[in-house]
This record gives sequence, C-alpha cells and structure tokens, in this order.
Amino acid sequence: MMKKINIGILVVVLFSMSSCFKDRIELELNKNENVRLAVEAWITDLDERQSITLSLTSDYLNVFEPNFVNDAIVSLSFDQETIEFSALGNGVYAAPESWRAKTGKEYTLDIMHDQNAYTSSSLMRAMPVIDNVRAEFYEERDSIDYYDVYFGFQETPGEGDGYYGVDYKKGTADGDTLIAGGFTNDDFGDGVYYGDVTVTDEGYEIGDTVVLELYSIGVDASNFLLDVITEVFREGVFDPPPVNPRTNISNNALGYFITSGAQRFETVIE
Amino acid sequence: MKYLNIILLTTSFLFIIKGHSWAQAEEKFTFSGHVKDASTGEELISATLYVQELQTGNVTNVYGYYSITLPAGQYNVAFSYLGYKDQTIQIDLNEDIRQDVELLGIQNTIDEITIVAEEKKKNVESVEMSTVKINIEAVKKLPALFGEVDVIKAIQLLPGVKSIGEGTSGFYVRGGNADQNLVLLDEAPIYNSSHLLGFFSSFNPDAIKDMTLSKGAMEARYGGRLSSVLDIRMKEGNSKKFAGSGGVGSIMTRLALEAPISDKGSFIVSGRRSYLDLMAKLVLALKGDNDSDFTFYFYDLNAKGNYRLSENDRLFASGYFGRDVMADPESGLSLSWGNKTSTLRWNRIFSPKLFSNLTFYYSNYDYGLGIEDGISNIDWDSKLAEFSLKADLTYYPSPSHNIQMGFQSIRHDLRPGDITLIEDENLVSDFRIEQAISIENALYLSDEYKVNDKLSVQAGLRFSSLHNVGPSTHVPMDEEYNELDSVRYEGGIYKTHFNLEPRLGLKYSIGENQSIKASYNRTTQYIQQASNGNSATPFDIWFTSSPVVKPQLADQISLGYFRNFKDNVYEFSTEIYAKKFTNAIDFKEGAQLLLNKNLEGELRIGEAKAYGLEMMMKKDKGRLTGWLAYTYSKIEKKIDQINDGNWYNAKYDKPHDFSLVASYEMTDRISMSTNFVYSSGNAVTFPTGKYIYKNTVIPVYSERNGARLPNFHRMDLSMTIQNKKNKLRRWQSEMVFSIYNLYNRKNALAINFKQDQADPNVTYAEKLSVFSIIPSISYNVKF
Repeated sequence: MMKKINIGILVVVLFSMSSCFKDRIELELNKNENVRLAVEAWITDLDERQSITLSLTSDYLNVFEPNFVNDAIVSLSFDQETIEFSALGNGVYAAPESWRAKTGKEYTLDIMHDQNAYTSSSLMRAMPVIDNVRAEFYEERDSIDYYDVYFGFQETPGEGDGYYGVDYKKGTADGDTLIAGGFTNDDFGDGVYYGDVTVTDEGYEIGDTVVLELYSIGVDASNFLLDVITEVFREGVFDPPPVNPRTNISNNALGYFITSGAQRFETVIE
Repeated sequence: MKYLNIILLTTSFLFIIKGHSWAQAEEKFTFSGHVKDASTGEELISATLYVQELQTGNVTNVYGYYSITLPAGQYNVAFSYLGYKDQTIQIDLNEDIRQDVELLGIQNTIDEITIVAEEKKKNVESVEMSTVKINIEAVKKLPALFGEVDVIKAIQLLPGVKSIGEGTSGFYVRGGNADQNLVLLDEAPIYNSSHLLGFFSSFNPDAIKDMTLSKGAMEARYGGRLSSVLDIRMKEGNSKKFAGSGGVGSIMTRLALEAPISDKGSFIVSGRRSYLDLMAKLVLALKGDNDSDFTFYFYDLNAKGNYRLSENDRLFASGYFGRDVMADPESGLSLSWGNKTSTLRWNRIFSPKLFSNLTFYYSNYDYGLGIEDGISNIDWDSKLAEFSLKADLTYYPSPSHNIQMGFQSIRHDLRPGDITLIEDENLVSDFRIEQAISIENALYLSDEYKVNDKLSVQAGLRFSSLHNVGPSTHVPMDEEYNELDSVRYEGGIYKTHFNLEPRLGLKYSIGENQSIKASYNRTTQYIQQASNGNSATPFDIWFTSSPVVKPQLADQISLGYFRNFKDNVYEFSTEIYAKKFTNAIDFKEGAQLLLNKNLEGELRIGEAKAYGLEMMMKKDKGRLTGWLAYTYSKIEKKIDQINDGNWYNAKYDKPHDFSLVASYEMTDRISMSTNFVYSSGNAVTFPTGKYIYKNTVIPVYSERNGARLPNFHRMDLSMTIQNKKNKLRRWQSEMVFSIYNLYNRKNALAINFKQDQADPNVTYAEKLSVFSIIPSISYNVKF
C-alpha cells in the first residue's frame, strides 16, 4: 500500500516537474576528505554461496574507480559459532562454499580493517510462503501484450517485518540493482493477507521466463532501502534534506548488514 | 524576562491611567465615523485624519473606523489616503460628532492630487515598524508569472522576505520558516495559501481590499505564529452600484460581481478557475494525441456580504473556498486538496470612543488521495479544522492613546491521516492516525501612546495558552531521544502550556522628516507544519504542542531609521534585527513524516538564530513609483542530532537579496512595470563522496546546507494599456502584456546528482530549473 501511495505522490511530483528543464552541469564539489568504510552485506538462506563486499568511499563526481578493501578480516558469528570469510579479490569476502544460513538466528558480522573494528547484528527472518504466482496483463505496446507477475502472501503477524522483492527476465542482470526492486513493511497492515502483489511494472512478453525473488529483511532494513531510494531518486523540490542512508554498522561505517529469509521462483509467461 | 514583563504591564497601565486623567481635565468631545471610497463605499483601512489646529491625528482601524477626542472648538480636519484625493472638512466640535467621510480615488479625478503631509510621512511618524502595507492596485500592475497577478509573489519582493524557489508562493520572513507566517483572510487562517503545488497563491486579487505584512514588532492582537502576520482583508462589496471586474489570462479566468443590499449593505462574489488542463489537452490534440485524460485544475471562490443593523451595529459574513483537483485515469490516481473558511463578524460601536468587533470563524484544510488500479482501491484522507471566537475592543480615550484589548479562543481539530485499502471489495487494511484536539486561548492588551511630539510608545502584552484535549497517546522521549513507554491520556485537558508575550515599540522623531524606531517582541507558536522538503506539499500535515513537543518561542529586537526626502516623495528605511528561536524544531535525518503514528518521534529540538539588515528606498508618488530593496540576513540552526549537533544554515538562508520594482505611467493609458531580483542561492547539501551497494551508487554527505545553489537573478517586464478614458463609459478594460524571465535565465531550483544510465560508473550533477522566458497576455475589465 505504501508503495502505491508513494507512486501517487511521485505522479504529483513528476507532474510538477514535467515542465522543468534538466541540464547536466559542471560543478566543483568538496573532496571526499573523510574516507569511510562501505559495507555491502546481504546474507540470505538461499542455497548458494554467501558473500559481502567492502570498499572505501570516493569522490562523488569522478568516474567511479572502486576502492575495494581486500585486506580486511571478516567473520560471521551465530550461536557461539564463527564463520571466517575469505577474500576473493575486488573487495569480495565469501563464506565457505558449503555453509548455509538459517532463518531465526541472530547473526553478528565482524570486520577488522586498518586496525579498526566494525560490527553489526541482524536477525534472519523467514520469508512467508508465497502463493498464487501468476502473470496478468499489464499493457499493450507496439501491438505486443505485456504481462506482470503477481503473487499473494500472508504477512507474518507481529510488527517489525519488512520485505524486498524483485522480478527480472531470466538470464539478464536487470534485477541486480537495489532500485530494480520494491520494498514495503508491515506498518500499514500487520498480519494482513495480500492477494494481489506485484513488485515491478516491467512488463514481460509471452514466453519469457521470469525470476521472482522475495526477501524478508525486517522493517529496519526496509527503512534503509527507503533512505537509498530517496537519495537516488532525488528531484530536489519536495525531497527531504539529503542525508546519509542509515546504517547498522558501528564505527562510522556506511552500508547495511541485512540478513533475510528468501524465496526464488521462476515462472514462464503464458 | 519576568522582570521585563512586569515593567511592560506596569507601563501600559500607567499610560492608561495617565491618559484618562488627562482626558478629564477639560470638556472634550469625540469626532468619529468611517472613511470610505467615494465611488464604491469601501471602508479605507489606515486612512489618516489630521487636525490642523492641534497638529494631531489618528488613523482608521481595519474596519475604516476613526475616533478622536478633542477639546471643544472649531477644527479643520484633513483626511487622506494614498491613491486618493485628500479632503479637509471643518467641524464645530461642541458635541460628539459622527461623520462618515468619502474620499475620491485618483482614477476618478482629473485634478492634481495633493496629499497632506501627515499622510506623506506616515512611515516616519508612526510607531509602527517592520510592517509593510501592500497596495493591491500597484501589485496588479507588476509583471507576473503567466500574467496572473499574485499578491504573495509581490510580498517576496519586499526586504526581509525570501522565497525558496522560482515561481513558488511560500515565503520566509526574517529567518522564520514558511509555517511561521500567520496568513489571515478576513481573520481566518489559511493553512495552504497556494494552488498548483505552490506556483500560484490562493488569493484572488479582485477580491482583496487590503494587505498588511508585519515582519516584527507585531501588535499584541496577533499571535500564534513566530515570524510574521499577513493580514488580508476582502472587499466589502460596492455599496453604491452594481459593479464587476474580471479577466481572461493564460492560465485562468476570473470574475467578481458586487452590489449594494438596499442602502444598508453590500456583497461581493468572486471566482477563478484555471484551464491549464484544457489548454494541455488542446495542445496534445493538435499534436494528434487525443487519448490523454489527465486532469488538473484549481478554482477558488470568495464571497462576502455586510449589512448595517443600526447606526452602531454591522454584520459581516465572508467565505473562501478553494480547491485543486488532479486525476489521471491511466494510473488510477485522483487527488484533491483545498481550504475552506467562513467568517462572521459583528462590529459594534458602543460609544464614539469604544469600537468592538466579535468574530467567529471556521477554517478547514483537507486533502484526499485515491488510487484505483482495478484490483485494489486506496483512499487517504487528511483534515485540519479550526473554530475560533475572537473579541477585539478599541478604546480611543484621547488623541494620545489607542488602547486595544481582546481575547481569542481557538479549537484545533487535526485528523492527520486515515487510509483504507480495499481489495476485491473487501476491506484489507484501515490505517488511522489518531485525531488530535487542542484549545488555544489568548488575552491581550496594548496601548499606543504619543508621549509628546517626538516620542511614541506602543506597549502590549499577550497571554496565551494551549490545552491538549484527550483522548490521545504520546510517546515520551529521554534526552537522547530514545522512545520511552507510551502514555495514554483519556478525555479532558491533559496538558497545558502558558506563555507571556510582551510587545514593545518606540518611535523617536529626529527633526521633521526622520525618526528612529525600536521594537522588541516575543511570539509563541503552538501549531506547526510537518514539512521536510524544500517546498511544502499538499500532503504536509500540522501538529500541535503536546506533552512531548514544547511550544516554539521567538524573541526579536529591531532597530530602524526612517527618513523621507524631497518633500516626502522618497521614503527611506533601514532596519537591523536579531531574532532568537527557542525550542526550534527540525526533523531527524531520514525522518518519515507521512503517515507516521508517532510523528513526534521524528522531531529534534534545538535553537535557531537570525539576524539581518534591511534597506528600502520607496517612491509611491508621481509617474514613476516603486522601490529598491536590499537585505543581508543569516539564519542558522543548532538542533540535536542533526549535522553532528553543529550550527547549520537553514535551507532558506540566502544572505544577499536585492530587488528593484518600478512602474512608470507613460501616458494616462499606458504604463510599464519591471521587476529585477538578485539573490544568493539557497543553502543546500551536496555530496562529498559515494559508495556502491548492490550496484547502486549512494551519495555520502558531510555538512548540512554547507553549499549553495548558483546566485539567482531574473528580470520581468509588463505593459498595461487601458482603453481610452471616457468618464461616461461604464465599461473599462485593459490589456496587460507580460514577459516573465526577460533574458531567459534558467535559475537553478535544485541540483541533483545522478548515476549515468549508460555508464553506471559515472555520476554527474544535473541542474533543475522551472521556467524559461514566458510571455503572456491578459485582458481585464471593470464595469
């Protein structure tokens, strides 16, 4: 529901901006003097190897040359057990190949870099059962019918749940960015059964194989995603003041440690 | 502060007692009445009367009423009002005299206009400072966006008043936020004073008689907002004949009709409707697109009537209804928002020296958003309603004293949000933010005392309170803003805030045409807007002080120098001010203001300070009129947990602000006007770094509002051509040609930072600007 409301507000904002001029300009910004550690850590219970990525912040307007951190020590603790992550290069640290996360557990991430310790904890929540995955007509473009993927789920009773979902055509990287997906939380309907949920308005053709991924990320992580979306889609007029997206990592690091139960479906548009 | 309050109270009463005993020293009589426009019967606000033999005088109040008590004798009393021919009448004051005086407007006379000196140098002689009276007829001649006259945008050209974005109708006064301006339309507050997401103000210029902006030195009868009062008075309606006015412009059409009601009253009805959507459809149709059903329009309606029940009693009823409507069938979106106000007033003249007004008003602002996509329906409603009873008494014991007193009681009823989600005709979710009710009360007393020819004092005291009424739930926070256990309050008053608000103004004349003035005032604000964006949106809600949120306070001192030159043709004024805000609020980083059941948890409290220098050179007489204004100002905030607790610029901090406004009557029929504005760019926050999370570039910020947009400047031009003058012709018309943004400067409304779609490794800055050069034509009529 919040997403639809946000879309409604976005339409209003876009209308007001529709007559605006947008010009790419040269601008001198202050340098990134206070270099900070950025942590991209999203651990799921999917049956695949889990990893995180570490980098340092860089100047905003330069071409991004990732300043990866390859000399950190990374570990994940739970139930008095510790998993060491190994550096694979390009800032990536991976858990052992065979290790799989489990929902219901509280995970603690520890990073040691440049004699600084960073830590964060996150509860891995189970993803509710998804039902009634189906394709429904979306729109016709250039005489081709496009469809969206819909599904239903029973939101977990009890406050504090948040969800992230993304769908994309199999074999593409369309779902690889945060902004490709959608998110919500249970602020507006705790324990409600949602029967008609769609994540993105991409539109798929008949015959496409669509991958649908859903993650139970908790309300705090959904608020982090809201912060990110607010900054990424900033239009400047009705936006709140720019702020760094919230973080749950200590010692002035940036990024977020998310753990989530997840489900991945594939469906063919028929 | 308590000590100061006691001094002020004592001083006020001393003035009253002293004035009263002076009044009993010899036989005196009162000369009173109304000052009106001779052609329409409209009462004139702040018209001057000057008793030549005694070299004393007074001004009319907001109902055009004057009263002056003098020793028995024969006097010549000159009445004058800017834009009107002055009139001197001879009175033999050996008893109380009640006499209405009618002045002839400039446009109705071909004689040379003479204005008595007292009117000419009212700015120097009056104790009033930090106050600007806006001449509506002059505003109508100014170049305007799309040729649509906008009174709020005219205010933005005054020193000490800033706007935050091109074309927007919000205004910021002496470091105050936009919600710290009390905007009154016939005494009812307007909570959203703009149409079209801020591009046009809610006020129809055809319905407005008078506007006064107080930037400081606020009279004790005003309260409830920290920074300014914009007091707008609607026309009463022509009491002499049926008349009308209207116009057709690029964006909207308007019509006003007015007429007498027997010989005891009059009425006026005026309305506007935009046709932006119709024009857009037409343009799209010409391009071959006939499928667009997007609807967006606004309208407003003003109506007012008055009726004289007796010589001493008069009733006024007025109302405003304005609405913006937006619908997009393709996305299933429908949205509307608007204000409604109703005001009932009863003027009673108890005696020639005692004038009273009793006001009841209702003000409502609401919005609704609906989204229907064929599967689910979402309805979102929000509403703010306010009822108020207000009584004002003005007592004129002698030419040296104008004493005002009164009370006001307001009931605020806030319903921030109610959202229902329906899927397949079944209610899936009903989300409701609890209603908040509070009562705001105020008592005030003030006296304007002319101590001698040089010194005048205006002293006042306002005692205000807010009472929260249950049932309600609040979540208290500790000093670190950690939320504690929620507290449920049941029915009845559960929290009360009290505040004393002293007001003091001094004027000391230095020679004939110059004076210095000083003022101090404290203001309190109990209701504020939850707005976190650069511009207010229709979705912003209001919230009141509570057990968690303390009332905001502002203390302002001002010092000014006023001087007139060249036989009072040129008015120069300069003021410096310093203002301290206590319990200033801002919202925590990443605050969620929409549909938040615990909005108070998003607040952060601190302090703010503003100071500045304002200069203005004004010319109201002759063929060339206008003003030059310059402002230097700073506004900084220090709020817990924002910007690491360090001072930061407010978003509307624009240190330098220059404006030039000029109108030139080329002939009796043709006039030209121009505006030029130049100001520092808004304070903004730019990123200093970036990182990547899941292939998405995320900016990193350091200091809040530590950067600035490029400097802003723009010039507008207009030409007004009236039809040939003919006294016998009833129908008068004019064409107004306007060019907004004459040299086509694309001023930055914002600068955004983007990730290049083609190469995600590249980030760039993008300037957003709203208007290019905009020529427009309007046709206006009067009959």
